[in-house]
Amino acid sequence: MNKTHKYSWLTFIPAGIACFYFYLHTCPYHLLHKEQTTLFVYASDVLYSYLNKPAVLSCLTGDYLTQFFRTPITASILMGGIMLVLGLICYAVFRKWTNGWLAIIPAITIMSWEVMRSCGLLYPLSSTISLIGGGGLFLIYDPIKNRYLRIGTVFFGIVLGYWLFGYGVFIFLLFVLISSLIHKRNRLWSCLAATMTIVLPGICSKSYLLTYSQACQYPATSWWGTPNPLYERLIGLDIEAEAGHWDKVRELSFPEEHISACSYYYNLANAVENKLPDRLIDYYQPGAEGLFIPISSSSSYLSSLYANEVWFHLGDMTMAEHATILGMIFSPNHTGSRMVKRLAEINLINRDEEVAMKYLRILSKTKFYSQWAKDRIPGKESDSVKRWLKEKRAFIPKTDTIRTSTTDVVKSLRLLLASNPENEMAHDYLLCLHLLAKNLPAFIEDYPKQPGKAPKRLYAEALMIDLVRHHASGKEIQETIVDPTVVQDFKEYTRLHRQSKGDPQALTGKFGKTYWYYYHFAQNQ
Amino acid sequence: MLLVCTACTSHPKQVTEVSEPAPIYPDYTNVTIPYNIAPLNFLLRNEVSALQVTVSGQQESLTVHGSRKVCFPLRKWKNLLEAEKGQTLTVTITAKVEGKWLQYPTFTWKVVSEKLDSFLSYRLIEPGYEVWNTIQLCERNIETFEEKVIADNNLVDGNCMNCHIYGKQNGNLSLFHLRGKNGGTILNRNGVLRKLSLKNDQMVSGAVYGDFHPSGRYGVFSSNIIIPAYHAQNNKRLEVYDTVSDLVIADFDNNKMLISPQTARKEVFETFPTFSADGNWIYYCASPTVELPDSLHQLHYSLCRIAFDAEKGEWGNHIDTLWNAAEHHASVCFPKASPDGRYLLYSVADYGTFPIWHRETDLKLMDLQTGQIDSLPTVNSDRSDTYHSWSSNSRWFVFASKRGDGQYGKPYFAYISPDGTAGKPFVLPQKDPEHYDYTFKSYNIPELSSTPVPFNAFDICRIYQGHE
Repeated sequence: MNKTHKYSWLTFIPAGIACFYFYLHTCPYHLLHKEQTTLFVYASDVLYSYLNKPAVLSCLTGDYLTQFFRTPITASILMGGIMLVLGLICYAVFRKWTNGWLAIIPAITIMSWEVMRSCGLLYPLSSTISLIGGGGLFLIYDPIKNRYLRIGTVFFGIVLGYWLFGYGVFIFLLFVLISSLIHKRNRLWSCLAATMTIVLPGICSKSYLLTYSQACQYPATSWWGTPNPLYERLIGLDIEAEAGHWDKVRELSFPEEHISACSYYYNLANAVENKLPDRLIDYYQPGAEGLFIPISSSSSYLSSLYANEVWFHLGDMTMAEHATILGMIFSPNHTGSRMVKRLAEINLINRDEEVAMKYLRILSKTKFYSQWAKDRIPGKESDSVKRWLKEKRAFIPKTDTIRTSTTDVVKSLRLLLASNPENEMAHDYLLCLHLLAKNLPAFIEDYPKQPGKAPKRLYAEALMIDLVRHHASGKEIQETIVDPTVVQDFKEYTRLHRQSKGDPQALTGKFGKTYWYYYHFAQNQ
Repeated sequence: MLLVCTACTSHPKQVTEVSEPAPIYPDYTNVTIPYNIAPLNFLLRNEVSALQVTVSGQQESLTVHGSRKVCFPLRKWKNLLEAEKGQTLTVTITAKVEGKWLQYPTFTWKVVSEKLDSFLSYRLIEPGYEVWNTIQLCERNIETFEEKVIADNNLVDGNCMNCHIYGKQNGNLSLFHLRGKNGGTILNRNGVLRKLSLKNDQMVSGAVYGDFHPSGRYGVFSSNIIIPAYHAQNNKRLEVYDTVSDLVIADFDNNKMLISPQTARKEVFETFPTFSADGNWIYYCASPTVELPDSLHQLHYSLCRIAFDAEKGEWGNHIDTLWNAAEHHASVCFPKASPDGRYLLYSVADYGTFPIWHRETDLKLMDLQTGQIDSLPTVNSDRSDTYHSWSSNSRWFVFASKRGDGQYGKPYFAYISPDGTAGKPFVLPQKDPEHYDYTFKSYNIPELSSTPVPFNAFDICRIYQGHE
């Protein structure tokens, strides 16, 4: 055989590097999100729970490695490395049947397929590990020369393979069948092995409480995937918002694509910096859904995950907890570092220390959150955490009310303001909510009367409409609006509106980003 | 090998007695336990590096060692409890903390000779307010750590399942509701499963909360339109109320629903029905309707009863009020009669009909012979203590409590002596005492049974799909 075949495996190194760059530039946020929806807890009770389903080793390894997806670079390096291992395993298998350079083709194909699959938001790393495991089992089995030992190993390998690697056993079986066809040996036993492989998940499904199809494909969730730039962007918005990187959130919000989740995060980024009214009309607004994401039993887990952020920042911990728990319940693993951290924070703010301790204990048994948890143990908080708690507790409701729906946001916001009139963010959300719904009477009702103090531009524009409607006097307008340029602009807007007979094209250039334009022309979508 | 193992186990030296109690979790100090309970494994919540625990009785004793967790060997534990039935065990903990051996004050385990029913069923569900994703109904053998899943919603299209109850604490008579398109009430009678539709045109909804008649022929249920709502302050979280609720009896033999105008009044919310031990009465909770949710704090349920003639299958005509909510300015839920007919156990909250999220909810015990009400101070905690079920010998009951973390419900067992004295309750023991720390599931609707159910999750799957 040509000596160059010995070095053909080196082809996989640039392939692995290519995978690294692919993940880094195409879906880094997907990988970070996977870490946030996983929680690897170093506790015997949790580790034993992996035995409740097949693919024990795949799931343990997959979740263990996923905890390291903490930055785009480390996540991409790990994924590139894992795909490299997969490629090499497949190459080693195909090398048994063909020359080195030809073996590269199917191996790279499988590698590429798996890279695509892993772009799926719900696709777990454990599924890739299962493929590696199945291939690895074959590499252990194949060198066995003794016929009876080979036969016994096949059957043992099937049972062990299913227990350790789930559907990876089908990969093992596939390679065994190919091997037996190529070498024309043990074909009968191979067929029996195939039968056993097909039957085994059905037998095990009872103890694993899975349907037959679930048992056959566990832990895989899909057979194909492609990068989804939209999801990547939405997840990026969420991850950067959770980290408090508001400039990045605003950057990711563009270009505008009329997506309510983008509006939601854009608004949130501005609101935490007290700039919500200043920039509201600069961006696509889908009515109330640009401010609050409705959640119900039919919401996706991503919606529930997103929904908690605004409530957490506003100070309504019940709504924040509701959304967080829903996000956790509906997430792929029904847990996650992100949600558990948020639940701990919510309960610390609410002074419900016992339940906060439950979450902190869990986090203290993780590799990367134990210090975070330690800094928040009630009575032993770090100084920065104490300051943060003091700030957050200042905005929580001091009285109770009942909301019959999570969409009853006006009631929630009014309660927050009744408890804390200094809650600027709640104030802005309430007023902007009314304005986006074009509910001027409600806006006027909730707008705090401060004669002589210049309102924010957006509010001034809305107030102007109301004042003109009620034929307010010049003095009243002056006292309410204060800034004369608002009045002048309104006059100009009115003149142009009349002149163009209400043609939006005539107004969009100079007044497209005013509330007057929104009030007249925006449609609820 | 033995010498190596012995050398590895750290034994107490230069022990100092301390006065503060051992920080054990779960709290198993000074509890009353049945002789057939699984080992009360626990751990220490401090910087312990080695432990020695000795459990001493009149005749036997058991010593175990550990690093932080105390796990008693099952067979030795059972031998100990069997030998010490009716006696009190003394538990001595000696722990190595920061290099020093400390001996904590001893505490006791009172081992009563009355058995606790061997099987406990419950629903494992996240405290997810009004929604769910993965739900399992499980049955645990309380004498060991074996747990069997009797229904898993992964096998029934992800639908909700709830209210698994036994009849007369017997695994051969049970039911639960399975929601969804192919759902229904799954009735188990001696292993024969039937899927029933417990609804007719007169009912506002399908059957919800229910109980079996002692004969097993009937079941009494509420039918409710249930509305979830959300509090705003602190950890009050969820509120649930009914906009309509009535009572109905299902005749399982004749496949008909029996409704009485007395318990289906528009101006009254009737709910949480249960049969008396002899089956001649139905206890339930009733409240005049109020404007909801605005008047939620005025929603107070009284404890009532109405007669039932099992021979004729007829409701009585007269309603008695046993506990008047207006007088007590509180609200009753979940009345359950003891199998011997002596007591009625129920929970009381400040208002409303969903006490699990009411921190102030406590259990009360009414002596049906004398009318005396015991507030059960040794049983109740500062968190909600609610949904309960009696053991077949009327000496034990299980209830769901949110003590501890206030969010995740766990099943607690409490003993009632023949003279009506309640013992300190203890939580269902787990093989790994850290289990409750790491689970994200609540133990919901705990129910006791002396025998296991004769079906499994795949039987339920088959009946759900119509393959009976």
